Amino acid sequence: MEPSEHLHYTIGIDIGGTFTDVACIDDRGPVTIAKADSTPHDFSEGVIEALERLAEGLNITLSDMLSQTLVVKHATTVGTNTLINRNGAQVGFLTTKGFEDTTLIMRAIGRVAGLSEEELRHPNLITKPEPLVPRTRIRGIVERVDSQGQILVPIDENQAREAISNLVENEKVEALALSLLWSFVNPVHEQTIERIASELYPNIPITCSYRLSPVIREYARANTVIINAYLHENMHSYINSLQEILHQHGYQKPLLVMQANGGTVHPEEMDAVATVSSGPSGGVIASKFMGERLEHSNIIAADMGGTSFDVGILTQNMWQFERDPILDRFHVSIPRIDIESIGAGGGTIAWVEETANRLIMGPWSAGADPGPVCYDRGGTRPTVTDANLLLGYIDPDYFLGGRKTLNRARAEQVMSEQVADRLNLDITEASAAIYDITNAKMADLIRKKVIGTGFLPQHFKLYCYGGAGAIHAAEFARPLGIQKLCVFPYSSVFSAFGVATSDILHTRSMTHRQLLPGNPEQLNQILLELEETLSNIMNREGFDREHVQTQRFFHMRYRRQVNELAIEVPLGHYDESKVLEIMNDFERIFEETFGKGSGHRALGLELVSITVNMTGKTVKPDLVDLTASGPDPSPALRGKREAFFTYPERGWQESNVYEYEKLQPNNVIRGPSIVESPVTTVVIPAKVHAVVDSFGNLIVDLTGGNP
Amino acid sequence: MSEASQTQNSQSQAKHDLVQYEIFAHRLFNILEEGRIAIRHVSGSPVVVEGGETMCAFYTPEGEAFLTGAGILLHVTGASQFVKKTLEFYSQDPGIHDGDQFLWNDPYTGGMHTLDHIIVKPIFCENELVAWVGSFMHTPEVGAIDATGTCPRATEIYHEGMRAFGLKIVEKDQLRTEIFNTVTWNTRDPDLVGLDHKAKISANNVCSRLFLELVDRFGLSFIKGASQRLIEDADQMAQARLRQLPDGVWRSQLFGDSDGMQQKLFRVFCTMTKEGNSLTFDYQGTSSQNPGSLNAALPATQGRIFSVLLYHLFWGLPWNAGVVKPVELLTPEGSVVNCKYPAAVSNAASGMGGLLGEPAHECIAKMLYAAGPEFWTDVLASFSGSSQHAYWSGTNQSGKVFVGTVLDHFAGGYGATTSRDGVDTGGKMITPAASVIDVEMFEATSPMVYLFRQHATDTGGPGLWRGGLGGESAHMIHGTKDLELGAYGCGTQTSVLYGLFGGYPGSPSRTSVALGTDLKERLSKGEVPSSWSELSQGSNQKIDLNSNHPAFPIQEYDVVYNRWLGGAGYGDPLERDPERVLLDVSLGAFSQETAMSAFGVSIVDDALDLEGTKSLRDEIYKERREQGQHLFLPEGAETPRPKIPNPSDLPSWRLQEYLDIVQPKDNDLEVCCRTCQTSLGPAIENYKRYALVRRRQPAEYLPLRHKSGDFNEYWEYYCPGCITQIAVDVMDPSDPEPIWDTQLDLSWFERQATVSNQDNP
Repeated sequence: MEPSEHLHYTIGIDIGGTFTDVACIDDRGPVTIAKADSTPHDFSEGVIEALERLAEGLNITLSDMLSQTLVVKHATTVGTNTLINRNGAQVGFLTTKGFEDTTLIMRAIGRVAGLSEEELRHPNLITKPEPLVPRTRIRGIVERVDSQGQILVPIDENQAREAISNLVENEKVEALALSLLWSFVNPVHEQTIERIASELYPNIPITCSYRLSPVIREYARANTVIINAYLHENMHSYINSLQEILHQHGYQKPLLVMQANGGTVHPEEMDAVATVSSGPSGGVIASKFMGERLEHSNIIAADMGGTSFDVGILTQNMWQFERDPILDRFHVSIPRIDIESIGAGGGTIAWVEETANRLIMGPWSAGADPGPVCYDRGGTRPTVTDANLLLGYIDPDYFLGGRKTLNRARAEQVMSEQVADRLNLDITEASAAIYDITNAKMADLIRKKVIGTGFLPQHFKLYCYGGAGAIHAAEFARPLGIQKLCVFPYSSVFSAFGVATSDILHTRSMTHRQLLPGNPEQLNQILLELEETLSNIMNREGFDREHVQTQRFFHMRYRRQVNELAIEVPLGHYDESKVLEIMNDFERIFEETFGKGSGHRALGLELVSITVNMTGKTVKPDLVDLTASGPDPSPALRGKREAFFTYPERGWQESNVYEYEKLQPNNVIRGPSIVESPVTTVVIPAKVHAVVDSFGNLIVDLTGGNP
Repeated sequence: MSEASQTQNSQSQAKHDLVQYEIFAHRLFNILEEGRIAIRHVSGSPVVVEGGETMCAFYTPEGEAFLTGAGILLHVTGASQFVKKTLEFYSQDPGIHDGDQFLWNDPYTGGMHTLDHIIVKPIFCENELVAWVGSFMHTPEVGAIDATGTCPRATEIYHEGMRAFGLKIVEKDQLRTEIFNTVTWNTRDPDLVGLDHKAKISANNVCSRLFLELVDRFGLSFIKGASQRLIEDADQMAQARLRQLPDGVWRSQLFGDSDGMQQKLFRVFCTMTKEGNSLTFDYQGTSSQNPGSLNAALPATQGRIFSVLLYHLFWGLPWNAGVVKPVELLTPEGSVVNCKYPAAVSNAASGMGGLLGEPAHECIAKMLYAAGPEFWTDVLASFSGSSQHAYWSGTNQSGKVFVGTVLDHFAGGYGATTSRDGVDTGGKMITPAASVIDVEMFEATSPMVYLFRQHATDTGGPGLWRGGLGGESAHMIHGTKDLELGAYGCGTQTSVLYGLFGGYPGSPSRTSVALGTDLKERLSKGEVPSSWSELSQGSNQKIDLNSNHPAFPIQEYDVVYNRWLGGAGYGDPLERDPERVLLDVSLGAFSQETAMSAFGVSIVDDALDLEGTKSLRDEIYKERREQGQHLFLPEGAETPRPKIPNPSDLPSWRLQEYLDIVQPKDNDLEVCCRTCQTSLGPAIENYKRYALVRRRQPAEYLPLRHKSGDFNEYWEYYCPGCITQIAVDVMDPSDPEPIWDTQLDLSWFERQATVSNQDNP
């Protein structure tokens, strides 16, 4: 797959709830970005609108652009929206007789799964979510396999046939989901049902757990197949029609689809469940891409938007996978990039708890609608963005590049009435308090996520994106001991940029319990099977074995423990000494993660499951260096304004204001300064400086050293 | 210095403290979360990792909890005695030093029973003791007379396993191997217990290290002040919440059905008095302590009451000692809620827990209801009651030690509330994030297979809003020749929940065993039983286990059946929309018999029979009118009960779902039916005495309820005018009169009215 002479654009599309972002990497020139409103009634409208704006930015027509495009990659919120709006397919669920209520009992934890800390603090109000498959569309099949894969109850094929036709004929199901107990140890009964269903109803799609997610824990596995069946039709018809539209506009290649595990796939290899909330992973992938270029291997990827603050962690330039993944409010068993979110965004509301006289942030958010008070769209409660405006970080006349003027007077009034007066502070101090407390919450989330990987925050670079993040980043990074903060010129569409840089990735996991070292040949056998399956898929994706990068992970624990820890293990054939090495690695990583003395070797080490990833590198145009300039940023100086800083001394300081677009590589900006673009604001406090690198990134040095 | 700049400085200081305090509080909570994460990853106990029964907390140098993490609510306050006693006993000898950790599990000091292990660690900063951290966990085995440590055979605390009184398990950061070995090798499952102790030790290490980082960042004097302030804030916020609620006296009772060994009725009686910003729970009237293990030492009662308070009354407040400062607890010494040493107490959690907490919950729910509509979403009928569990010990399919308990009841049904049904298999009150184990995870290491695990019909309490469903499961022994089975707990023959305002309690627990089954053959022929009656067909012997039943050997293909609690209902079931009842029946929430007997709904061919329903309901109303009698009407009271003219024009306060208190002109306050305006007597008397009363045997009209000849009756109270069922009480047949559940201090409402009139001239 050599990039041909005229196919030089790589385009990433990220549809979010509010905006559809696109980024285009040109291997001959700079990165171009564009945005359009998302169009939930038909998302492809927003996509075409954004692509048209992108072409405009490139000064060519849409079809010229698309016909010169090597690949379009796409993260979509269609799956998420379908889940939220509950308008997926009418699914019928088949499971082992006696366990028809598993997805309704939800292991009881389903009542609280996916809720925020604040919601959990008022437990009487919490109920379970509406199930995706109601009890009336669940059928138990007479069959049973035990933990060793032995058949205890042979499958009753007639009963299975009746159950399926009853679901289709009487309950009008449009898709089937199938998960039997212990099917990952012995899939023969699932295979039988799959055969019967396809004989009876070849046009009804069926998702089988032994194929999609052959791992232990039936509750999460059942949710996984159900969500997949629920989204299958919506996702496939959406992707096919978008691909069709793109082809009509001159694009010649397949439309690749982003999955939440961090990779893309061809539409025909797509598992719908894996695409849900793949957008946020774009930012983490972009961070990996930038990290490779900037030679950073430990990265905190932090995204601050209107309602939330999201954090993903990369170590050795690889992201972490979520330990107990939850979609919407359902536990699932597919690999997803671990991104944790707290309610600390620009729209988060500040209020005073009067009994204890405390200033509390959230959990409520004004979101984008009505938004902060200063937007003048009906917001009546003070938010983080209002505080940032009152502290001088945001220019009321340059919001969205001056397309909108913010109402400072109104923000002042509300801040004064609802926060400052009640706490007996002036407006500035009240705003600074909101700023500080928000920063502390962000720092706490980052700390928790980093500590969970066994490292300390001071060994990480902070990559900050999303509209508001860089206003806060320097201040929440400092107490964590982070030395370097990176902000990107296209940070407002960073996820779309990440989607553009993503690779083809397929993952397969299999539960296999073995007391280690045990017989290494068993491991070799399973790895061989998994890697065969993946190789075949990668083949269909257009990659031969040599062009595929393989990673293996063992999920291990001390015998008798309940939770396991995944570690990456070496490739190649295993003999006993190799397995002993793996065991030593596990113990080292376990103690790094949970503290010295937490290990318990005497109990024995147990392998629980094996995951293999195969990555096919998509052709990825590299970023082109911009023309270097000198250290003097004054050509980009837009003016000066007073802003309130909390470090090293508290007080108003006159700050230089620079226009981001006009900064040149090698420019050095000394704090106190503010760098602005229509969609991003970067606050650089006193005693801190930033340098523009050859890609136009702003690298902020928080150590106070000299440039 | 100018006056202006002085003001500015002190303002700046105030602001600084305000912000620092918020940052400190948030960080502190996160530190405890990190500790809990460490525990969950190191531990091997399903009850900890799946059930969430773990918690970390910080204490002041004197032992007051200033912040406890999420996890189990029971030990928010109950554990502070462990710190206080460590200080009292060991300050001089052997001394309390940096890097030491002390192991406790004595239930007369704290916790609920010997299974509750806590390790506390002093935190020193430059040789000064600045705080304590404690990590709590429910441990799966303690080496007691009966496996798993809740003991059907125990008659003294000495039967309930080794008690640790502050063993220095870690000294100057070194694990003391001889102590570690002693406390683990004294149990049936040293490996698992060992993992759990290590988990607590690492959580304490994580928390203390991070706490010292906080001291570094904020300075010691700030940390001391802020820790105290966390307690004071919680105290203030709890008092503020109480001031919003009406004054009065509330009463409730529930019954246990076992003394720990034999089936026997006993009573827990709770009187709650709320006045201004204080709240008192008095357990006068509670039965004397039991000879077996169904007892609670005082710390267990405190822990359970306070978890009820945190969940149902003080939601959203910081979890620390301050929350309970406005609360007083009075317990008669020598009773089941405050037994005397050396009584056995191992059933304090499963067996006693719900009996300790749910009467208090009922009082709180009714107080919240009387406080007005803004509190109604927090009014829940009862759930998380006392329950019975099967336990086993022996070897598993791999020949390893196997000791465990059926924990499916962690998915108990929730109570119904004012505007919706209870959540089916919703969880457990004391551990808000509790979960039940995946069947596959259980079978992977256990010598049995589940035949089914499902929602159980008729377990939820009928009502205008129904209780959430409980469930049922069956374990078939598979892959071992060495296994014993027993049961412990309470509540197989009594209703351990209350229904609210005419709703019924959910069904009680049940454990039954089918021995010598023919399942090996039936399964291989493709016959899969999905109920107790199907699975026990063809068995040699069927046993319904008493609430407490010592272990006995069982064989392959024997089956243990377990049914766990549904939540209680809310309101008169005859008021439930028949369409909802139809849906309930079609989903298996209720049987067709219950639809008829409790809801008066007739279903023919899976469709609603409207005519039949109307005549059925008329029939039930008629029966209520005939059977209901003025059994307790005060002498001289008027019958039939008069109506109150035009009550909607009078000042009124809501007493409960069906009753108002109204103030007729120049007359004393009266209780008035909201539906038919009938008077239920003066507001200064118990309205139940003016109601029609009917004493019933639950089993005669509700499936799964205790059989005739068992311990309890249901007393149903009907409005004498419209025959609406306004209350159902669980009673001892020998009780002399109805309980006055809600005795409002009417002057509180008058004072509120004056205040609000002043507000809105």
